[in-house]
Amino acid sequence: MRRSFSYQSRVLGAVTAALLLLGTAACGKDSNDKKAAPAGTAAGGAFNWQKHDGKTLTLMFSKHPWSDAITPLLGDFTAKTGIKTKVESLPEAQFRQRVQVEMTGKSDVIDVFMTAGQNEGAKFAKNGWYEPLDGYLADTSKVAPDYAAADLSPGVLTGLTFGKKLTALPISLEVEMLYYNKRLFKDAGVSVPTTYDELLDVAAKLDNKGGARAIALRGKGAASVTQFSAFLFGQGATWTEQSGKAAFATPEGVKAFETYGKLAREYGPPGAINRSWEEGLPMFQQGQVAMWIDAGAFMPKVMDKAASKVVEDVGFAPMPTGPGGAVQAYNGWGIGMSPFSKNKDAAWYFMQWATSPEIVGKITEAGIPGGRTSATFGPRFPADWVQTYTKAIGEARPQLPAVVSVGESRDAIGAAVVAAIEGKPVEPAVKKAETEFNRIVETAGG
Amino acid sequence: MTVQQSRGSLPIEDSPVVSDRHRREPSRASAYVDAHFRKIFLTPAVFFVVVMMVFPVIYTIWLSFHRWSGGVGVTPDFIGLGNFRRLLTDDPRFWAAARRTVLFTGLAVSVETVLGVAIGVLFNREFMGKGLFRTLFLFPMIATPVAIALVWRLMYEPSSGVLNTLLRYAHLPRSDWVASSDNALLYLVLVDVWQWTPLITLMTLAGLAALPREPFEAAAVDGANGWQTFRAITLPLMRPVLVVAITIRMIDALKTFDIIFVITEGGPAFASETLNLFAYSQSFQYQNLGYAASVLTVFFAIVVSAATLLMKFRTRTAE
Repeated sequence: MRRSFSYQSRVLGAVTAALLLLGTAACGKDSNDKKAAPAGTAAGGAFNWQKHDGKTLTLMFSKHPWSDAITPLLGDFTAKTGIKTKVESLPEAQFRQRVQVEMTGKSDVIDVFMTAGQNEGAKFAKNGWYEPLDGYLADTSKVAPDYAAADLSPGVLTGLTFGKKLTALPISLEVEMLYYNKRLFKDAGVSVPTTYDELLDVAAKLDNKGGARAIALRGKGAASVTQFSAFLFGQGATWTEQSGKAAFATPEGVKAFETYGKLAREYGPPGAINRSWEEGLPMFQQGQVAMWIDAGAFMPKVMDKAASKVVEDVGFAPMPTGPGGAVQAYNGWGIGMSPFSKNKDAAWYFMQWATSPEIVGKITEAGIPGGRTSATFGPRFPADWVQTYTKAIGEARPQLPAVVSVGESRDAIGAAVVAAIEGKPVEPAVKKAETEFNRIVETAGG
Repeated sequence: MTVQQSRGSLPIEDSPVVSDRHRREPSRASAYVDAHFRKIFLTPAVFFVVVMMVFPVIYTIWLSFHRWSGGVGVTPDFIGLGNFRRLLTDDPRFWAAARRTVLFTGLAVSVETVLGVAIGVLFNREFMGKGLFRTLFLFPMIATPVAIALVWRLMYEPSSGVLNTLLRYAHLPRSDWVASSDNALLYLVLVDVWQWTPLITLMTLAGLAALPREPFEAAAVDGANGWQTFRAITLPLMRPVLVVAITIRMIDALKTFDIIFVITEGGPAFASETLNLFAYSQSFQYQNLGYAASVLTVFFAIVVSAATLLMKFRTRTAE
């Protein structure tokens, strides 16, 4: 008896184990299959935050105020859903390259990644590197009842839609603005410049007063292109014609390059052509420069007492007016899902959590706006920042040219910015960038 | 033979029938090994070379006739010589990068050779603390290129770098160092010279140690001075060694990537973009994989022909 019982139990054990294995395999298949998943739940399609309990997601972030703000909140996400997260955060240039390499290799390492629609949206969408999100957003079994999708800024969603497919959810919308140091302005007896001519004039008066240089601008080739855009638009020029060919080599465009170059060369700390925001931010925080032109998204960093010496003196102003008007420029970040992810439904849970009214509220409070139209600016936002931001957001133009090979085009335009800053002949450099730009547009993809 | 002997100690050999069967098998195997041992011993090495070197080169050449971007799921599109036509006739950025590659290599290797030989000859003499100096001198070569590149980048920083601080103490005007599109490449050559002169010195020292003594003694008897001895005896005798040293350095310098990438990323603008950096941008930044392959194919041809020329020069002088 004993022997046969033990034999039976062994057989039973083996069968059970086999069934379990089959079961888990089937479960694994189910949770990967979008259609099968809701049918498998007992509640019959009701939304449940705990549904993907036990999964682990890899989140690929660029170093940015948004990723700094969301990272400490990730514990809440795990508590709410049971989904664990692994964050990889890299400086912007390395981040971009890393994502591209993983996508080229169809790697399933990344589940969710930050993405800037203006920069890589067209190219990634063309290559099929975004999981389209429309289906997820429309499926009531996958969207929390309090998500309020209608509250996501429609304009931003349009900017993140390529080929009628929604590629990412908005997380940050940034407007280019002028940061200035009120104390240094007062000491030099100057007021906030409202035109580009005044900007040059004020810079000349501020320079080398109170141990500070007048202005920090991005000068590192491709990185400077976004912040240069307002100068270009302000002079009345644009990146491209209707046909998609370069339109920035006009006399107005050349003037914009000259203005930008002169400011950085004559009134800024030496070595501008090797610097981006990573270097400009600490210079402004330390009071080494009186003005800094960059994305408004760095406001929380400038207002952070632990890192900034100028918290009491900071002022914010819109980009000056030029012959082309008072044109403002914006850029934005979203989060997209990798089409090669093995945890798409769990990834979607993270995405909707990160863009939910509750989390966007917290992130906006921390100083990063743009996720939702309803989010209100908290007490951390200086009044002049809010004024600059809200006024600009309605009319701002995208910072980058709408072409497929943005990275390559940025390198070509960036070379002209470098030449302008170095005081080389500007017009030939801009013409060269124009030729290069058109070649890139024609031969997109090789 | 040896196989059979080692088997002899096994207990299974006690049975004559079994042992017979077992003896025949290994003997067949060992006969095979005996007959083909060259092939068998070469196989792992050949396999390695094919997988790691021959295949990538052929694949790159194959890819250079295609247009390919968008990831491994996309089939490369055959365009014949399209990439090469664009590269050679319609891409100023490629030609500028090619010129910079030649300039960088030429400058770096010639300075390193002159300095390296001079220091080698110096270290070949007897003086106090010679061993210590020789060891210290080799340190740059041992350091990881990326690490020393990071250090140089900090030293070159125009606002806070130590080099401009030193210039200020010396009451000299400050320099933009690598933050200048006119000079960036030169300052990168300086880093390369700092790191790789010791290699030439090391090879010079090895060559000098192997030279025969008689010609030097004869020259001393004839009353030749140091410079005359060096010009007429040391240098000609050292030529084969130097050609090898220069070839190694040249191939290495042509494909320099790490120090340029870390210090300037090929910038400002494209001022220090060599062919390697250009190919890197085309492949990893822009995902123009077919075009990048054609750049690398041309680059490969340049490296191979330069090395062949130099080695020809060596055999001719050796005769």
